[in-house]
Amino acid sequence: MTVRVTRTDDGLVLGSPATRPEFSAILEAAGAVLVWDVVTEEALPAAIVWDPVLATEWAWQIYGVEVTTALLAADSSPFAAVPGAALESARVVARCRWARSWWPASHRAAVPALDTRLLDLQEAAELVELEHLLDDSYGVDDELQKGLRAAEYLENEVPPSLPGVVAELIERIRSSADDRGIGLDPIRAEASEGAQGEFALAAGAMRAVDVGTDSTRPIAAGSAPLDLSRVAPGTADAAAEARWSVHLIDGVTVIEVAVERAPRRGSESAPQPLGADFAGVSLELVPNGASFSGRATVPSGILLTRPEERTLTIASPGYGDGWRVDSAALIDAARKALARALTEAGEGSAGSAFTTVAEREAAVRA
Amino acid sequence: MSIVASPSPHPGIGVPRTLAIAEAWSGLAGVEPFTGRTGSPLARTVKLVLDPLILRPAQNPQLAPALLSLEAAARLRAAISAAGHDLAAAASWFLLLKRERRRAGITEGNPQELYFQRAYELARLHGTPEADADGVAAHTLAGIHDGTRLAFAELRAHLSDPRVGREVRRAVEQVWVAAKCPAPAVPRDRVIRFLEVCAQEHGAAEEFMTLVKAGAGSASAVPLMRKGTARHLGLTDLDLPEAPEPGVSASKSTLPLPFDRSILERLFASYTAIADSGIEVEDLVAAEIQRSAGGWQLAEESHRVLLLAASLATSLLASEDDAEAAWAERTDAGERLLARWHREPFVRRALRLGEPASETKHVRKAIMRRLWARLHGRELRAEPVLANEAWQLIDGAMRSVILDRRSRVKAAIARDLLEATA
Repeated sequence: MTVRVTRTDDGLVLGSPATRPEFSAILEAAGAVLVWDVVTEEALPAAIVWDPVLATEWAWQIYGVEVTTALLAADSSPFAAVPGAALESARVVARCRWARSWWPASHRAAVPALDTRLLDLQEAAELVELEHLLDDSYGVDDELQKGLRAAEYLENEVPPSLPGVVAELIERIRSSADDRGIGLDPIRAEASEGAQGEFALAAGAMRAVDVGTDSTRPIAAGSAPLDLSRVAPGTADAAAEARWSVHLIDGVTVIEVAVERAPRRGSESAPQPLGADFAGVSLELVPNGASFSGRATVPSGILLTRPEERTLTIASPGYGDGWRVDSAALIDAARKALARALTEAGEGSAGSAFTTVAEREAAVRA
Repeated sequence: MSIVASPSPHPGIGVPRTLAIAEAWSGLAGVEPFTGRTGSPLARTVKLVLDPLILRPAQNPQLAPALLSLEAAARLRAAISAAGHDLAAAASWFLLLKRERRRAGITEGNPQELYFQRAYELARLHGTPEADADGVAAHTLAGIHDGTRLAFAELRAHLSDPRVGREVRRAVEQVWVAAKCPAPAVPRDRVIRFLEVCAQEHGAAEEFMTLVKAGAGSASAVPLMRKGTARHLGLTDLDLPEAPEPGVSASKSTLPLPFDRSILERLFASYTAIADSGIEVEDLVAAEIQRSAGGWQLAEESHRVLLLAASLATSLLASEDDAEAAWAERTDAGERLLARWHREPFVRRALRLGEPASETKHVRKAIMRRLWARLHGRELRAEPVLANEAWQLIDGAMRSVILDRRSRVKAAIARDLLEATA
């Protein structure tokens, strides 16, 4: 395959990276970021190279040996790429990370959740093979630790659809961990809890009162589309809309907001709350049954605002800047992946499947 | 999976060193424990065995660069092939050491880190393991894990002893008063010249050594005793750094900024570096007292130079309330750090991570602190920075700061398996 080379102010670009973050499966290598487009499903990544000399150390293991000339030559001639020995592992790690970030799990659109333990397991198993080319090789042991924990769970709960593949990954994780003297470490849970405290909800947001069951008929109601780039992974259903309604309860004007929760698998704990802003009123939406919901009293004057001012935005704390993700396109991509995963699961191949083990398991389950 | 075969040479450009190594490696037999699934040697094999024991780039500079001439590549392949027998024997020794480790119930340390070099030494000494090999392996392991690990409680008990506390205070006072007047300041131009080349392969080591020899690091530490300077660099919360207390407790969650740490807290922060060093508690404390009075509160001149260089390179990242933001120097190294910073939003979006708002301002301080901590750890491990590592350390400190920010966000949103088991 011929790969285009473009020189930029900051280095060079191989191929054409996906322009939308939600379709970019990435791996941060030493001197370059590799970018796979999850829509086009090409095996070879594009690369945004910021240190060409550093990248020559591993690039031949992704693109084949011709890439060295392309990285270092003064001109921008395209080069002929062939899949290198590290390509498969690199692509799988990037895809696992993409899936963890962007997989559009949805009850509404019938996109099953991926099992995060399978993602942890496969990502760690492949990451070990990439230690020499990563921008940050220190993180490998942490991922291995996560993979080991996932292995612990999955051992007693092997997905019936993929027993061989999962057993092989468990075996690989254990052997890598053993080589490095890594065992399950109880201190880790504590560490992650400590970090949690630093991420409190923005001050000033009104704490929502519990949503009761005494909902009266709303005085006004509406809905607003959800922007997935403004909510954390694993929170809202990818096809959900945010719904709002204003009620009069005992003479008090109350607003209620609700968003459907995303299906999850492999992670039992409740997701973090979401923040909502309705016409300048902030409220917190807490996980509550099948949705996130919240309620707050508002000045009665809120009903006098013009309809176009009654905007509702939903955002996870810390997710201020969104870029309007096209959920439907993301769901399309996931459906295509599931179809492919179903075929690959049927083939039972452990080796060169395009989809991740988690996608295959979800496809069979669905 | 196999190595890509028959690479075409790149006349005038050279052969990637990693490629030449992988080619030679694919011709070896019996080296599986040293090999990754892609068929190349593991990163640790290269770092711990091939480079220091076989290729020795310091002695064979033509085998050192990331891109080798065709001739050097051929020499490198020949050197690895010639060591094939030793490597296969070392691989067997490694497996033996690991078996012995399991048998002895040892769980501490990373077996690859700890045993790779020993395995190679054993191979050179004894060849392929024979009948008595189990005994040799057990003996070797006993030497590596000799049980003289210094318990942190021992260190704390020592410093908590009122008599020791008084002595430490007195010693600290003495060295702080006697802190030497350093060499005259080295012109800023020289540091800038270093920052222009430090991220490149050529000239970096030379410029670095020039600065070290001139005492540039020590000289640059003087302004740290000016009001607010060290605080702007994130090294203290005080206007002026104060002499450290002996300290009676230390904990990760309440560790003060580097210059505000007690002697105990300093040693605690790099504890893994000293636990196995075999150094006596008294010597450890005495060295730390001395270090606290040194320029940048470190002992090695090369480390002070690195902090000086980093303070200049990170000035492009200084927040607006930092006086230095106004006269930030645009150097190659600084631009590279800035570029790393600018890449971050792209990566964070692709990974769907939010932004912890409170931290964007303080990245420069965080980098300086991280670098200081790493250099301090190196001093305790008696592992001084090599001239050609300077850039890796500065860039590595920044990368580590960025990754920490990401993990904090992840921890906040994921509440994943770890949480579920807690």
